Amino acid sequence: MAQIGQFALALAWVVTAYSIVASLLGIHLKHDKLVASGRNAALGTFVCITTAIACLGYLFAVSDFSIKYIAAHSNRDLPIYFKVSSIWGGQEGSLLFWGWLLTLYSALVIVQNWRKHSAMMPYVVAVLMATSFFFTSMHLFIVNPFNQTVFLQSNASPLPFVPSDGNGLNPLLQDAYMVIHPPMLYLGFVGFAVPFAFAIAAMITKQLGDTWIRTTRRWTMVAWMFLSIGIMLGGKWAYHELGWGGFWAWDPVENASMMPWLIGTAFLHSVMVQEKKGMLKVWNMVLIILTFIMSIFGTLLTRSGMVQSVHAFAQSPVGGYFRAFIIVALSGALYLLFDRLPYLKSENQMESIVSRESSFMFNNLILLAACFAVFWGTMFPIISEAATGSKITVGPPFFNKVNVPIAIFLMFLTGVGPLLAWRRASTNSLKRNFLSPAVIALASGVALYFRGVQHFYAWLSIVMSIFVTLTIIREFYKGAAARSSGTGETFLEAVVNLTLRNTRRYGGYIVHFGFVLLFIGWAGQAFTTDAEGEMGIGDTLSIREYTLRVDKLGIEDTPNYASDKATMSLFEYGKKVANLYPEKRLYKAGQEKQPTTEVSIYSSAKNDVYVVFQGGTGDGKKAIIQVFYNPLTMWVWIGGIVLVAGTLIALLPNKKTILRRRPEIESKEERKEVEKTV
Amino acid sequence: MQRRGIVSKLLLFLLIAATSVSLAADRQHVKELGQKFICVCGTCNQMLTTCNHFGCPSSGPMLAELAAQIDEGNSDESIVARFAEKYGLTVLSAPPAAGFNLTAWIMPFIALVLGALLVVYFVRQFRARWASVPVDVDVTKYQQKVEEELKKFIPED
Repeated sequence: MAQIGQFALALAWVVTAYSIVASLLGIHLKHDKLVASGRNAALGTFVCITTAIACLGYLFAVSDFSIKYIAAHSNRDLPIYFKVSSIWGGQEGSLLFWGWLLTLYSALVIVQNWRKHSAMMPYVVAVLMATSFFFTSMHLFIVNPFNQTVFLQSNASPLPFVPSDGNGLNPLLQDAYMVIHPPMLYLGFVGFAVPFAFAIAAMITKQLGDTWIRTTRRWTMVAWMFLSIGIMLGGKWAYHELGWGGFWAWDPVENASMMPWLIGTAFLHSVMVQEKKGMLKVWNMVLIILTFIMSIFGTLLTRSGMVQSVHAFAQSPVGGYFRAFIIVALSGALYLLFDRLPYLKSENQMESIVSRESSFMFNNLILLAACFAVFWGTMFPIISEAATGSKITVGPPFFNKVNVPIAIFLMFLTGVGPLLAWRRASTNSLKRNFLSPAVIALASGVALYFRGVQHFYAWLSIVMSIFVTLTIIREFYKGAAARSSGTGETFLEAVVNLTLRNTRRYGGYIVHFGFVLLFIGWAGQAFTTDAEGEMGIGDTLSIREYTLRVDKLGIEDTPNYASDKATMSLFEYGKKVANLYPEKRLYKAGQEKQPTTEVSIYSSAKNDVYVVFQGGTGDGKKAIIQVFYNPLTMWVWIGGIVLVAGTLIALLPNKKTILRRRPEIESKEERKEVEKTV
Repeated sequence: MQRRGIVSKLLLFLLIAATSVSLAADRQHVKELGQKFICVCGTCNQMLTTCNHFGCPSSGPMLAELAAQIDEGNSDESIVARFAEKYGLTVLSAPPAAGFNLTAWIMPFIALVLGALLVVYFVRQFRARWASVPVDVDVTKYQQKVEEELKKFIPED
């Protein structure tokens, strides 16, 4: 099976190279069959890489430890679902998985667009396959997942051998969230290759209207949504698995996913200006180029270990190749952009600083500033070492201090932007739209302050959240009320139909509301408290309104791991609300036994009680238990779900309005007029 | 005699209460100051106060050292300086705002301000071009009409 996988990789490499050459040569020679052959080769690449990844999956399933990658990342007693996730548990497999998703996206794009965009598609194929060629080369020559396990003899010559068992999967990755988090993240990273390929194709073919943007809008949103899900699941995994009480630590690898997400968010907003007003064409090109480059940079950060990270599970000397690819892709794209500047002129002019267009520009500015701050902080240890010769650390305090004010300002724009009119907003409309939400938010802020919410940033976040929520509600109310009076629908029907009739706009508002919830969850983290104690059976530990009592201390032994486990009762104001089972596990696979913390969490809308089994006391009679009281954490996850739901709604095609027959709306003209208003 | 007993019990109670308050305050102080440091074990790269990796050889002794220095009555600044001297600048969880490392703090905001100026410049440049078109009375009248018509066609979202 390994030979089939190896052969599939080699074939993929040849077919990918052929696809690039055939596509470009076919266009140059105006030879349709050659172009079609390039397209078919791209589909063939998908088949080859699918075969390779299926072979790798099979090798994991049968525990074939003659393959180095299998021996290094699994063991016989590993449950089958973790064996599947082991495919992306290490360097070689994760890059193969990246490459496979790219060929999958490429195949889908070809099937969907080949006929619709016949002039652009050969270039799209060439760009996607050029990216794929880089990854296929990496799979084949640098980080081949089908290399044999070898034993180095005394004369340093390798001797193939088959170990009796594997080293096992990194215990931190043996978590349900880790089964799904990397695929989501990669679907996001890789997905940005599609709009990038279309942007490059649009520049090459000089089709620089908004066709490429309209074509790739949904692809961009899909990539953005997957990246959002990936980031959220990563946070959820960190919260459950790392056991330090939080979900975001500004680790370089976390930052790596945040950077393309921030620029991708800016791109999703600024394309609207191009679609509506024919403006910001150069800017949109810059954004999508940067988004793609940041996706590759994110993969580089994760996989190269160039910056020290708790998440850098697999590190190898792939950094140089990635850096070379980034330099080539970035210079090529920028050269093309400069060359095509005359074709990217604005069709309209910015009329006022107080307008929807300029609010989008400020939104872009803030998102880019946030991205720059994250990039700067992540890379600063390297920059500082190069400049001063001394190593330094850039940890959470830096990122929080720099990014929190930026994020709060972004939240403010989230509320303001959608309510400004295109072209220019009059003073009256500003008053009409903003006065009441601003007054209510400020009044709530005063009330919150006197209720004890006195942490400045947390207070400001909540006030902004109230303000944005009110503006969103106002938008839904205004639209639904107009629709209801025009169509005779009930208010609820009107809300649903309003949303379905303009999914992008109202889906977008729902996404914004998701952010509001995320902000509320983040604000809650400012009020986290913790307690720690050595606890024997019957001992209690109190934190705020909760009391924990140890009911049982025991040992659990499974084929994969052994664990020290506490069974605890949780009481809220003296009433039992849950049983909790924090554990300390010791995974058996490999020469070095690896311990992990399995926290136990009681979640409610108000707060989480997060219990960590820190270890045992010296005499082994008591457990060291740490408990965190994390306010409002659940809203982070709910916010994530709402954000994804909003994106899914925005992805739906708009529903055409079917007005109910009403006697007073008789003529066609009148009906049209009503449709216009609703 | 009985009164003396009550007073001594009360003093004992106050002493115990004061001790527990002082311990609680120390714990909070250790936690707050500990956020200025990173665990130097070289593998976890976590904040000192959140480092929880099993059998960490560094975080426990570092926290104990931190608590001891607080108990000795040293100021936060001197403790930070001592840690930086002993473990190197990498022990600090954020770069010191001095020398070259000051750029870490100011660059994001410089970028933000420059970006904002660019946006304002961009918008003003557009408006200046718009305003430079000569307009006579009749054209203004028609322009208003065009504006009104345009409002009907430009979608709100």
